[in-house]
Amino acid sequence: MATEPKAATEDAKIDLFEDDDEFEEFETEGCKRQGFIVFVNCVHLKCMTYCTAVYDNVVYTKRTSVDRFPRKLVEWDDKEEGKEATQQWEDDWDDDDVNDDFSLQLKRELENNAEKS
Amino acid sequence: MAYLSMGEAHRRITEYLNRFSDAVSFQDGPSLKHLLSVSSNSPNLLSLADSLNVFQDANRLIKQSDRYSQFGEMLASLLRSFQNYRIGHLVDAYNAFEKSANYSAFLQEFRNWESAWAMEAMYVIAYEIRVLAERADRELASFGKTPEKLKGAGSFLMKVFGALAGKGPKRVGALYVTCQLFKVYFKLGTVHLCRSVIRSIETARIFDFEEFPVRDKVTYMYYTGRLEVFNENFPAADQKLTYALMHCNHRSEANIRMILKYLIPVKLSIGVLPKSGLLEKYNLVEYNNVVQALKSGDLRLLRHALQVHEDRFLRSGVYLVLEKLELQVYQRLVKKIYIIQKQRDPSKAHQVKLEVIVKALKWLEMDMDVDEVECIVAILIYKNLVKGYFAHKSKVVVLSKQDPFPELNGKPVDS
Repeated sequence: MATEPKAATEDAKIDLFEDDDEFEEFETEGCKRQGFIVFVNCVHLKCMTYCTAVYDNVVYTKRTSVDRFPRKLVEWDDKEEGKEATQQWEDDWDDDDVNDDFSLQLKRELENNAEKS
Repeated sequence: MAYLSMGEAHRRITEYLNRFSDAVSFQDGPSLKHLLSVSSNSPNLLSLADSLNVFQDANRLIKQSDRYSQFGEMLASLLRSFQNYRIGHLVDAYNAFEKSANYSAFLQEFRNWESAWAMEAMYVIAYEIRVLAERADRELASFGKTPEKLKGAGSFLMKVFGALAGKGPKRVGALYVTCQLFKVYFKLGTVHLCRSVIRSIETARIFDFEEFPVRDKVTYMYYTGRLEVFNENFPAADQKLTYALMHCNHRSEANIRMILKYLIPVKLSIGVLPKSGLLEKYNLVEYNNVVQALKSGDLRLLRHALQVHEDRFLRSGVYLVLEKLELQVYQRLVKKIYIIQKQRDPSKAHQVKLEVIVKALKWLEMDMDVDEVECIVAILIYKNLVKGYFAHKSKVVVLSKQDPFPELNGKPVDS
């Protein structure tokens, strides 16, 4: 290999990139962890199947259609918990309230200037 | 360290070799995977590594029995990796491990097995090759040499991906390997290389995204979500990061925090604010003042927040996203001025003198003349954050009587 390209990257040699936000590995083992259910019971009722599963000592019941039955038994989204973090947003915050500190100070500032001019 | 006799060392190595060959003979994936974690520091593997350093001639043991011959080459390299890792020779440890995993050894056999019995073992190999490469590169850098092992690990992982991209049951492992590749590319700063593997996952007919394990889908959506943030595709970023958030194990608080770290700027860009409890719970207080600035219209506060946490925002790559929120904060400020005027004199409220905005900005320590303010208001109108027109000679912006400050409604500011 030519030596010239190496010289050009000499500064970068010691620099090691980092990613501060590297995702941690999830646990992969067993049925009690991330995403796996311990299958307890399935009841076939007409075209739907009701699966009752115990996941971390909490009982969930899930309805799943028969044709997807085998696949859905393998894993579980604990949507109950996921909901918590996903419901922490507000999109109706843009109100007409001007009684907060900032607005009151702004009002005073504008009134002062209105008087002056 | 307790004294380890030659005899005892011999026994432990033989025990490992037997376990290995049994695992393969009986296609016992869970047992096999535990024998491959070079970096794990489990007591059994540490004692194996110590034994190797005492005995020093494991190759002889491997050759002694036909039981180990099928994987003779792999075992020799694997044991060398354990041995070197234990004594801190990280580059040698990586090189040996890569050799043990490669075509001449594990990967070749793995391709031949039709079932997915060894999938978990392959996961361990994919993980180890990345982690050992990172440590090897640190060792290289400390000697003033060019770090190149992680890049090599990336190439190896692409080969593994190739082995999994088929119609059989092994394809379910492709997403895990993809995520290891993401970690490699993000660390190396070569994120453009993610494109080809993303394309394979998302367009190849053999893959059904829903079939992959949840934990891999979460990781995948996190990284592809981050890429969407870099590319400023906010609706796509919102969708992916929200998916990751919804399906992430609630106990993985560190991961949830990382998802939120990128999701919050995205949400802010589409006019959605996090509740303060969320920022407190996951220690993302650097966003507190940004959120507050959007709520109040306090431009000084936004600029201050960007300045105070500049390093942090730059490192995560969200600085520009947050800086662009300035327009939304301007909108809020003008709206506040309009509301205050309306309280004083409803009939004239929809006419806002630019001078008034100048004064408000001056109070916020932002020195702008009336022309600059006119320019900003023009941009606000252009981007549909304000509805109105200029009475240019009288330096007044005449606001629309209906909905003069349109909400974003979940869409980013018009670009």
